[in-house]
Amino acid sequence: MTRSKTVHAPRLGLPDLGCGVGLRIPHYAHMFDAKPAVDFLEIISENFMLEGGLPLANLDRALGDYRVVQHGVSLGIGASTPLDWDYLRRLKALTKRTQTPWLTDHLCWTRVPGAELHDLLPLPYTDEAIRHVTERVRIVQDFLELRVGLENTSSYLTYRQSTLTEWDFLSAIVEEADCGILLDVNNVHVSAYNHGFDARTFVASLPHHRVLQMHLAGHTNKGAYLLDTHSDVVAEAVWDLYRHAISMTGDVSTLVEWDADLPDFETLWGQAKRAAAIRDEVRQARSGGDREGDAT
Amino acid sequence: MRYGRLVLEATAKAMRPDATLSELQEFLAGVIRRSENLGAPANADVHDALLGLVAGSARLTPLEQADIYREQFWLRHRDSLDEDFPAFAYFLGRDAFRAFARAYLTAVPPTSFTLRDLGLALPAFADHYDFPHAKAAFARELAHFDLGFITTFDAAAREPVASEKVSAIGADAWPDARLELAPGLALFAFEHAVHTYRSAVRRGEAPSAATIEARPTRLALYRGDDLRVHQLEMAPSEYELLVALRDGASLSAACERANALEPEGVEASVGGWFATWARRGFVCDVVTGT
Repeated sequence: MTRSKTVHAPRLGLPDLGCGVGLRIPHYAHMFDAKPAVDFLEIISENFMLEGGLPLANLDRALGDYRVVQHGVSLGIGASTPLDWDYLRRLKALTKRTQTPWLTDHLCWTRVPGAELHDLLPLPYTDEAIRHVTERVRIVQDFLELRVGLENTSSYLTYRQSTLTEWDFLSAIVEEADCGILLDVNNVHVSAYNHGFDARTFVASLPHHRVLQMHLAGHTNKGAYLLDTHSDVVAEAVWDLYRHAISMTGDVSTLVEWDADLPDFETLWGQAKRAAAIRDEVRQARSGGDREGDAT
Repeated sequence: MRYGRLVLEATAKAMRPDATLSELQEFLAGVIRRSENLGAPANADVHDALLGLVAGSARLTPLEQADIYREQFWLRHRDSLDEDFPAFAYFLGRDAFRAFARAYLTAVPPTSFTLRDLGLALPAFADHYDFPHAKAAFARELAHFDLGFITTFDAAAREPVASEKVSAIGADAWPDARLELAPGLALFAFEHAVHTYRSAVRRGEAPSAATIEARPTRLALYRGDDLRVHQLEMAPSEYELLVALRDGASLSAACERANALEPEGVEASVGGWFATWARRGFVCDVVTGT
C-alpha cells in the first residue's frame, strides 16, 4: 500500500529574495550614493505610514533601486481589542506603494483599551488564543490582499495558563489561518535560553513550507536572561541554528536586523553575506547528498 | 485615576486560572505601566495575581519576568520623548526630565500605534506641570517648539501655489483673497528666543545664559524643498498677518490686524513677505471670489 504525502510549495509559493538588511536612516546616504548590491531591503511599516515628508521621499528612492518588504510592529494581531481599521487602511496604502510581496508582523499583543504598549507581549498558548488570532489573521489577509507572515517573538515570561508549546501554538495558528511564518532565528535562541526549551525542537516542529522569511539579529546577555536588542553581530549559536533551519526549509529570504548601536553599512551587509554563504553551503550539501542518493 | 482603577479591577479576575484573554492582557498592561519595580512593597497588591498568572523560570521569578516588560515600557517611551524633545530635555536636565516623562506617561498613556505621536500632548501637559525650575515658562516654550519640529516634519505633502496662478489674479481680487497655508507651517509667539537655544543644543553646544532671558520672539517652522524643517524669525506684524491668514481671514482683514502693530501700516511690506512665503512654500493656494 502506497502512503500518500501532500507536497507543499516552499515558502507558500512566494519568491526567495536572497539575503537582505533593514533600511535604517544612518545608512541612507551610503545606500543612495553607492547603491550596494543588497538582495533586498526591509522597512518598518510604521515609520512610513505618513502623509508626506522626507521619510516617504527616501522610501521612494529606495524603491527605485531595491526590492522592499514590509515588516511591522504594531498590528497587535493577538490583542483583545478590535482590529484598528485606520491602521490597516494606512498599512494597505503603504503596501500599494512598496509592492511588498508579503507582510510580516509579530505573534503577540501590543495594546489594551486605552493604551498602546509599543512592546511585543507574548500570548498564552491556549486554544482561546489560537481561535482569536486565527480569525484576525484571516480578516487582515483578506483586507490587505497579501499573505501575512507571523513572527515568533523573543519572550521573557510564560503563562501558567498555557497548554501548548510555543511551536505547536504557532503551527496551529498558521495552519488554521493559512498564513506564513517569519522565523526569527535569534528569537528562537533567546526564548529557548529564557524558558529552557530546545531551540532545534522548535525549528524542527514547524510546518517548514510556511516559512516565507527568516530574521537574524544580535542579542544581549543580561545574565539571568537574554534580551533581544538588535545591537550586535549575530551570535555563533544563532548562526548554527540558522544553518539547521535552512537545511529544513530550503532557501528562504533572510534579513539581518540591526537597530541599536548601528555599525557602518559594510559591517551590516557582511552579516547578510554570511547568511548567503551558509545558504550556499547548505544547498551544496543537499545537492551532493541527492547525487549520492541517486547513485546508490 | 483610570489607570489605577484598571489595575485594581483586573487583579482579582486575573488570579482565576480561567481568566479570559482580555482579562489577562488588561491586568498585565496595568502592571507593566507601574512606575516602581514590581518586587517593591508598593506593588504588593498585585504580587499574588502575578504569581498566579506568570510561570517564572529556573533563573527568574514571575515578578522578575514581568518586571522586564515593565522596565522596557518606561525605557522605550522615555527614550522616545528624549529624542523628540531634545531642547526641552536638555534644559530640564536628566533627573528633572525623567521625573517629567514619568508624570506625563502616567497621566497621558500612549494611545497611538506609532511612537511619533507619543509627545503630541506633551506641551499641553507641560503647560500645567509644576516644574521644580525657576524658568518654567522657558521650559514650556521649548516643549512647544520641539513638538513643532515633529509635526512639521511629518505633515501632509501639498504643493505650493503655482506662480502662474498668482500672476493671473487681478489687483481688485486680492483684498478679498484667502490664502491656504502649507499643512506643515507652524507659527509661534514666544516670550523667549527658544530657537537660538534649541539650535545650540542641536549643534552640541552649551547655550549661552543670555538665550534664556526674556525676548519676545515670533517664529515659523516650515518644511523646505529638501523636506527638512527650517526655522524663521519674523517681525510681529508679519507673524500677525500669517496667523490671521491661517485662521481664514481675507487678505484685507488680515492686514488690518497686522496694521495694529505697525503705525505706518504693513501694505508696503506685504509684497515682499508674500514673495518670501511663496519661495519657501508657505502658500498652497489663493482662493478668490471669482
